[in-house]
Amino acid sequence: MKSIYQKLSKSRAINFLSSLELSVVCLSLLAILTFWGTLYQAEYGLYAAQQKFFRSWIFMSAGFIPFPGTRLVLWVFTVNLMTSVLFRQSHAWSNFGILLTHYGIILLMIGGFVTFHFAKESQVTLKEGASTSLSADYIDWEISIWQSHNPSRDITAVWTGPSLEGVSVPLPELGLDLTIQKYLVNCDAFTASRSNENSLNMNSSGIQSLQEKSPDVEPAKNTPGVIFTVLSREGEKSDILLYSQDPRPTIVSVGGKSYMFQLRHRRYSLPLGMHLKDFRMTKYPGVEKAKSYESTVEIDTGRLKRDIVISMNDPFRFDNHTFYQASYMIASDGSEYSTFAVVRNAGRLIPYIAISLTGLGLINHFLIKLILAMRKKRSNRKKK
Amino acid sequence: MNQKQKFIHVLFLTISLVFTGHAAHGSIHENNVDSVNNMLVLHEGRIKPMGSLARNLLLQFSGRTRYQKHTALEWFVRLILTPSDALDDRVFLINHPEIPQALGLSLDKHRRYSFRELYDHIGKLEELAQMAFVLEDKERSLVEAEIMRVMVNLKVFMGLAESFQFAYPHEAYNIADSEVLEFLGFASHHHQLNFLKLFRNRNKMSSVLEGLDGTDSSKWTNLEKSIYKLSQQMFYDSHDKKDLPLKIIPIQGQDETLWLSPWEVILLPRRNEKIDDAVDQLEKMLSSYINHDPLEFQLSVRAFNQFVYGQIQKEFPLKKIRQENIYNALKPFFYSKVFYGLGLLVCLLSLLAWGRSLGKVSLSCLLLGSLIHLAGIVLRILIMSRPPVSTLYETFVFVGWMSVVLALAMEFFNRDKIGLLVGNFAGLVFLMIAGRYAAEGDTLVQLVAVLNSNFWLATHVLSITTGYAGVCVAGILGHLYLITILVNKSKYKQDRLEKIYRTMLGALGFGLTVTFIGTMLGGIWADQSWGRFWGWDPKENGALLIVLWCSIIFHAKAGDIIGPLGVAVGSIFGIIVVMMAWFGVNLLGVGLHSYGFASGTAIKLGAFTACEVLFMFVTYLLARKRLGVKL
Repeated sequence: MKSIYQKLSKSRAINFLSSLELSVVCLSLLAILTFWGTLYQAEYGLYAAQQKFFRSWIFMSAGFIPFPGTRLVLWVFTVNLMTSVLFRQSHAWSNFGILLTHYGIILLMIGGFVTFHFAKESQVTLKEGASTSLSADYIDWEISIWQSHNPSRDITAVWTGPSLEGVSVPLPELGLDLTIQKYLVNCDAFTASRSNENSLNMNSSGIQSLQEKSPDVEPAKNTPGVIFTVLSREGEKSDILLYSQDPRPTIVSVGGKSYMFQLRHRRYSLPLGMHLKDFRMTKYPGVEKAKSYESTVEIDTGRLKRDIVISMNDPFRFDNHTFYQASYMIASDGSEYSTFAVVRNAGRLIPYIAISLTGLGLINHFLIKLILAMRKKRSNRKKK
Repeated sequence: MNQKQKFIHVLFLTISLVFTGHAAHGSIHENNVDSVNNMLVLHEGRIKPMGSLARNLLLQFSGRTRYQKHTALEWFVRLILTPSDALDDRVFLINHPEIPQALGLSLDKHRRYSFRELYDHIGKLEELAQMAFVLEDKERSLVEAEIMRVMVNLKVFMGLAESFQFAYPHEAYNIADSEVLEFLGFASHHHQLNFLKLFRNRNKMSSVLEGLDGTDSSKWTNLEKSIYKLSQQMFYDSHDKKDLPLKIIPIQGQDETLWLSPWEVILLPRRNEKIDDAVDQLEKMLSSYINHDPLEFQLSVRAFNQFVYGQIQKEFPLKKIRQENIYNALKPFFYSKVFYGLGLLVCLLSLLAWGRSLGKVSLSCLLLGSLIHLAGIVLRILIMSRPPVSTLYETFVFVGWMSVVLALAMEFFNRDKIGLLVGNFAGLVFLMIAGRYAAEGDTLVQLVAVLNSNFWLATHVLSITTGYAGVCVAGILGHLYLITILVNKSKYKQDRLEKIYRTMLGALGFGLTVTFIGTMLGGIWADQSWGRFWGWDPKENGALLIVLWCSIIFHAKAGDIIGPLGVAVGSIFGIIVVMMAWFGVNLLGVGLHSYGFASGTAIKLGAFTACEVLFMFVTYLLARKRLGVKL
């Protein structure tokens, strides 16, 4: 075992991967990407900057020159960190602070990995007096289907998106097959058919065609549309068109039953029920500047109901979910709405531990250096 | 009517009547107005002493805290009590000569203009302001923004001038007819009346007016004619008196205390005796000011204050007013600036002669400056009940002080005057920059909801700004390092260089450690408030850049990619990185932290960066030649 370690630590690959030169290159690339991405953000928005600079493996600068993306650099950086603490750095006590710092950063990278791949952000908007146990995605959409005569209104949801065009989804509980024909990320809807051919798409609001637009810099502002086919067991076929801004569901009779279809933000079920009792906003005296926002919510965890208060800077946590006071709206009739951001992240605590390690490591190292310098100074003075 | 039109409309309506009528003049010299300091006013969401409002408004108008020989408060009291005396005060600072040119004004070499001068050209000014008003904030040029600023200041000036109009002995209220006086219940010698006195008698007047309804005006008696004329004037005077700026009277509302201007209180449908009495004290204040009766003036101010304090003492600790008055009187940042400046001068002299004793003088200056500086910061904490850093202005004040503390630690450690040089220099420069931001008005401002969290302001913001200080001090030492190589012609002191280098590394390490902790605490705050630890927000990126830059220097040094010279150059560049993170990202105008767009700042930041890069390049090349080593 020891000999493998020694062999490895002398290998050229490990030497390269653990080298300080590689660290400097990675750190410099990160600095460039951060600076560049920040400037880009001012012009194209945060989402575009994240996609291009911070979530990419590689991207084209000026249209044709490949440049490593933050994701790639961070992977190399993490390998560099790991090999350097394993093979290059001294494990003596005097180096304890530095080692701790680097272990903390490695953990921070792991936390980033977990959050990037497994965390989910969504939101809940509630009117005062209303309840829900679902949260809505900011960006993704789904086709929701329910039977109009069914009193329990069991909703079946089909996730939709540009990558799912042509995909068939069997829905045995409804006795239907659904095939997505066309999905437009951002579009306008028209009641008249744009081409000469007669469109047979079904839509309750009379929308006949969709015209594609370029996606918004903020993807949450996109207004998508979808055209899909439903096929009943009896072989009856209908083409349906849904538009995201359409307030009414489209009712379609297939095989003697009538179904309602609507395009809505993708829903996630929450581990609890929420009932908004009251939303309050306080302002500084005499001006319009807000001092605080808060909501009183009754939560139902299945076992018991209780009231909680969610306010700015003071979120509510439950079962890997965190609920934040994010926004509010006061309608023209005076009714108040409160919006909560919901984040589900199993790795939420990792960065807390990581930065504690790194912070302690840095402080430790700084103090050791300071004490050494003081000792040296004292001995110098004695010599004099 | 859109907002702008309304704004200008108000200006037009009121101007004609405010400055007419009363012939009496107050005199600042004869009236001691210090007692007004303790009057309270609600302004920009905060209850503050009148002295603060006066000082901040004068600063906002003119960029100065005094008007000629008068204190801000003396000027302010004159403006609100006898506004006709203030019409020719040259208090309106206009930074761009294009504006007075466009208005057809002759250029003032101090760039300051009086209300009367500007009002004579109000038509043109409105036209320009209207054009600027429709633009988005970002699209406005410096000149357009300045026009808006001047226009807003004019409006505030107007509003203030109207505040006490209810108590002026107005010409239109001169009643010569003793029958009318008698009818209204005034003594026959009491012929100079004001709005308030007549308003208190409005029942008698309205009984007369009701009888006039539908009758032929040619058959009215003299009494009826006089009453009708008076009531018309009163209607005119009390028109449009909402939203005046001087909110000095607290009234218990249903569930909160409302602060109203005297006009709003007088026109309230329901008032109690206590409130009427308070308004009477204000009237007395005005009359005693006009009649040069300082004793009466102070008594009425005191009586009025007693009323106000009684109304609010449950919810507002009055000691804050004392603290704020001490803060205003002490002018801590001005005096610490003076000491730092002196200390820097003495320190430079000490390099030439009398090194030891002058060094001690410089150290005393630095110590004194830092103590006064600290007192200012502590007073601000007490007044606002929150940690000392939350606005851009406060970051400069705090980073300045932190730099001084770091420099003092350096001096204590090394005793080689480098700490004195760095500390006095950094304290002076940062407070001077802070001074530029102070000219925008009150620096003690309320925070928006998301920032209103003392715990995070205390931890995240303080550590980030302390990190700024560390990196800036390292950068200043970087300058010193390069300069030291260049100025020591024959024998450069290896010992001294080594000392600067070690200290520079220490400061940089301190900066890295504290900035890292601050950045990560920011991540935790973001996780607590918005649900994500990191979101690539510009300000987050800025802080990350500082951490990355310091790490690059340390790793490059550890890998022998750079030597001391490289560390020095890198530290200097660190200042640029800090400036970018500190306020450069605000210029982008996006993100969660953008507190205010300043186009002038962009130019200065660009110029600063260019100078620094040039300095780095030239001194590096020269130093390399002299030392014969690369980076």
